[in-house]
Amino acid sequence: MSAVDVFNVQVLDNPAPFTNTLQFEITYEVRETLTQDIEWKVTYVGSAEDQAHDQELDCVLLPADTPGRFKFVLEVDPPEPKLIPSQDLVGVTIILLTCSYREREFLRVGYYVNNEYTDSELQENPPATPVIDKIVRNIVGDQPRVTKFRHKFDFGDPNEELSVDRQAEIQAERDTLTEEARKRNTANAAV
Amino acid sequence: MFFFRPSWLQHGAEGSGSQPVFSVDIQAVGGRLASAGQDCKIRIWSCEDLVKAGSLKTASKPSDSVPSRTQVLVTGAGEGSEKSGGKIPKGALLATLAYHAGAVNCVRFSPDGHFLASGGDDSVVLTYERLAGAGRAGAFGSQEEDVENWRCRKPLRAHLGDITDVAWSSDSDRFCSASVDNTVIVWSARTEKALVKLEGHNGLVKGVAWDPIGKFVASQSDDKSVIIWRTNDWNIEKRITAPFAEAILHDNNLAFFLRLNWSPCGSSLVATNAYAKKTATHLAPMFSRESGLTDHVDFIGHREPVVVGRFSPRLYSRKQFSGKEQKASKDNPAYTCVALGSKDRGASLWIAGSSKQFVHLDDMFGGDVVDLAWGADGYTLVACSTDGGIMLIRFDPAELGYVVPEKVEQNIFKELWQSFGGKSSENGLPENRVQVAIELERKKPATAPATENDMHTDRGEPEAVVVTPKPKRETKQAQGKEQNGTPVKPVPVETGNTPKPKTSPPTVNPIPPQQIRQREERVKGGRRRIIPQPLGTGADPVNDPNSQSLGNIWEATNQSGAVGSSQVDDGTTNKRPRTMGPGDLVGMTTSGNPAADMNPWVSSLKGQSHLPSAGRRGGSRCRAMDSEPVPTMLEASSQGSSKPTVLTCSKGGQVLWRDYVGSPILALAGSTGKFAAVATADAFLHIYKASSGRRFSPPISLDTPPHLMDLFETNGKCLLLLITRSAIVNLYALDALELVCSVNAAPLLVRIADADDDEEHSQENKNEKLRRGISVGSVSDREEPILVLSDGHAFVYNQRLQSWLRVADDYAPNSEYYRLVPPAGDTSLLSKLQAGAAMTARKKGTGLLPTGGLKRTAVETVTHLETLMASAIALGDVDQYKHFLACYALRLGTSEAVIDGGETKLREICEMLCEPGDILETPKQALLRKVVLPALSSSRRHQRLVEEFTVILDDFETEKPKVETVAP
Repeated sequence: MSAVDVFNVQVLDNPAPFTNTLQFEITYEVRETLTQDIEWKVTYVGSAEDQAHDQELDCVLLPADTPGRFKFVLEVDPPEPKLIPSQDLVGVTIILLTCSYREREFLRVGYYVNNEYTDSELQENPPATPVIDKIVRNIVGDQPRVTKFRHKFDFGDPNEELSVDRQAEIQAERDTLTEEARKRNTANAAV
Repeated sequence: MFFFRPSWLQHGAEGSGSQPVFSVDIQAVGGRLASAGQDCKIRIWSCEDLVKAGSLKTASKPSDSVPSRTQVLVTGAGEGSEKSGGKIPKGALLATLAYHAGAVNCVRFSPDGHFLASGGDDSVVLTYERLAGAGRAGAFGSQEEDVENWRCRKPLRAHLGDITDVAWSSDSDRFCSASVDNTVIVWSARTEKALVKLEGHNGLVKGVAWDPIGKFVASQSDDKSVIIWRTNDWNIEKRITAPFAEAILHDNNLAFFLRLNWSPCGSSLVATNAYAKKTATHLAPMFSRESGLTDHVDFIGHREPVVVGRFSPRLYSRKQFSGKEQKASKDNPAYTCVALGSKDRGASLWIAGSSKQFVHLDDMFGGDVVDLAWGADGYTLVACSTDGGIMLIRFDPAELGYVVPEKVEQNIFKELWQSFGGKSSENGLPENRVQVAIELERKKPATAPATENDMHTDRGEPEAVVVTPKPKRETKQAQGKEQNGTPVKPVPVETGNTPKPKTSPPTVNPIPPQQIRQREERVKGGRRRIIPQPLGTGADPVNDPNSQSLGNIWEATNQSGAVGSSQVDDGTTNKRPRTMGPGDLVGMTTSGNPAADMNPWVSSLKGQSHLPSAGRRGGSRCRAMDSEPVPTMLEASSQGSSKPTVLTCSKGGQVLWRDYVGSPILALAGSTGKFAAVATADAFLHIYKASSGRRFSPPISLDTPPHLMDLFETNGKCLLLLITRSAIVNLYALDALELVCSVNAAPLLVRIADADDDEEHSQENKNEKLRRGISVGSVSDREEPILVLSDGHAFVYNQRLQSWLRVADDYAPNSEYYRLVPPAGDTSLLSKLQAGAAMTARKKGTGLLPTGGLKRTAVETVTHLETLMASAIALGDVDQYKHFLACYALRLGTSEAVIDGGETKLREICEMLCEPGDILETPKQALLRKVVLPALSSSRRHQRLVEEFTVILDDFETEKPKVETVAP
């Protein structure tokens, strides 16, 4: 029984240039009140191959001290192109929107993101160093991949260590996403 | 009989293996089947569709005639016959509820069909209710659509371990849950609170059953005992150990559940998992109530422990009853039927009264049969198993017997229950057709905001009305924020949250950003923290100025440091001799100012400024007079101390008119096209016509400089509310240039001094006198001033009583109508005030804490409702009055046993409404007929009362205009 549940997420300002801020309009539901704030985080997976290129775009706290439904807009800065390997900048990658409580994730929403040039010429012959200003980012907002993880919130032993199973669970989930992204990338490249 | 086990009737994703199903239950009223499984989900199916699909594919077995013992091998329709995950026929699956975080062990519908309760491995008990309409997609992100909309209510946490079984009381008011933490907890369905924890077992409690007569609760546990608890004092009536003493409990024979069950007549209790070592037989003992649950008949026939026992809810008889007979007779006795499920993967049926099995069903599944459920018609039985299968069995009347018609059944039950000392069923028989007709009306599914559902939805998901920010409030909010001292990111109020587009997007139009109101702050560590917008159901923000300013109470009370807080930041007291009292306005009619003169403690406030000034001296201020995109603005700017202040009215930068005022302007208010008013530091009020700036009246003198001023348009009139620093509240009707009323609000604000304090003493501390300030001022529909104070309490000044009436406070925390947020779709003033009061109390930590207790809650709810009704009258809100009147009648009708004098209250309110006359321009009798009586007829207990008053009302109708008889 999750104390906080996401009801809806809408991606605003989409498609948009790569350098625009990312905006998510999130509606969440608080079923049981929590003593601490919940933390929403947006992570940009720079490269489907390597977890090291993940960029945490921002992290905000939200209160969960009243039961009910709440809506807010989460606006975060765009990812830093320099930290993304150039071959992965254009193509399919993933954005993760996660919600955690007491440093532990209980909800993860993954979106596929399509970065491509609008200019057909650049599309045909992509330059070796990507031209950031011409890249348009399209988040596939209507196909989110939602995963919920077990979390005790305020009702269990807060010092309980993250069990090995849980970690494996989270890793497995991430692997499936990146696997998919990789497949899509190769499919697109083949076209 | 025929058996039907479709491959799609299972849990677990299609294609993958099916997961064990731990529980099934059939709704008595409504005919739904609920199943719960290890996949942590509950599925609700339509029984009708199941039976229909089943009769197409009958794998029927030869139906031998009874009563000879029949052994039926069911393998043909059993395990593995079809691959799991066939396509579910349309409409068969009504909903999937995935709210548990662990396997769901038990699902039970309430006897009235209204709720569904479930318990799972996550130690949480959940209750659900059905709302009208289709369900939204299963959850965000999943692609499922539900046919029905089942809402999950508040999760009930109190158990420390997996919950194994749940049982409802026959009046659907309470239910109990059994858990592996060795306890049974009894809950109230309506208030969603735990009532009692029953401790007495020394082992995992795996089964619980509530006596239909209501006197006992029985529970069975791994400690080899069945405990019978008394419901009146919750002490142990009896502990039965004998038949279970030799029960086998080692690992390979450990029973999942020990689901015991009472017969519908209450005369027997069947338990599970008993063993006789001597004969090495597993048996299920059935205890008879007559013998005080000592004598028992044993059902022998299974090769492994019996895990579940379930009585059919109906009575049967060999011969069909013709319409005339009222009772069972010797040659046509009525009997009950019980089904047992066992670890030996089969089930058996027994007829009470005979110790030989009627039917034995072998090999039903590949795993233990863990739950059984009977359909309300008495001919359907559903079984589920750990192998993931759910099987439907239909019997023939020729085999099982004819179901006894309801009326006869009621007679039999009444007799039996009386003989057992219980009162006859809480739901009597309908005695007249009016009653039945009303009941049928009520059985229709409630549309989301029906009176009854309102009570439940309120608790679970309060949804506030959406309030869009209005520029009018900007000045005050800016002040409030500065007072905080914390750096706050400015909320882009006027422009809404439009994104800053850096480059124009190339192709597809971006989704237009919606106006979301949220606040941001920074916490330690530099991280952002957002306060989100609470959601409503899409109710449009009301556009009239009245409710706008009050709608902002929600925001005002949420901000710390609300405007007009009781801190007196202006230390100097202004001893101004009063030249003209507020009652002496230019020869106008007055409506007295009694309070100030009479109260000695308040007199010291006269003429003195205690409330903070409306605006800081100097500087300029402005205010919008309407809510157009380009509003007409009133601006006041002072150009140095020697020059007079300039008052400018402009629209879109273009000046419409101008005036020069002798003294700094502290407050502005206006409405485009009507009037504009400014109040100055020298305690004068200037009124202009808004369109031209023509002075409408000579400057009006006030007793002290202004504290708060606002203009309202009520009933077509322009009313100006002005609160001065000495807490005098003046309400002027501008069109007629009349004083509507002038009252002293100081008694509301000051500290209530002890009667023994002498004047001198209180004068010394006059600066600390204010214990609260005024947050918002407004006008009700009856043109009476309303004040909301800084601690959330709201008052309206009633002209007839010439006093302030408190219409919202935080003194009823136990009431079920005590909400922190106005209910969905409710934009009434009263609700907003109530919610505001409750929320402020909560934020400030001053509210009384709910102390629980069923009785206290019931009493408080009723008295709170009475207060709410009276407040609705004071505020002139007919709809709210009707709403609360209905809730009041309903509440009294259902719980008058718990409240002392409940019956008297009911009678009194009916008598009061019987008299000819009106409340708030609605004829009282119409209220009685349309609101109170239908609410009362939901409970059969009051049908006499309903009938009595219906007759009286009819008499009035027929005798109408002339006769004015007094109600008896």
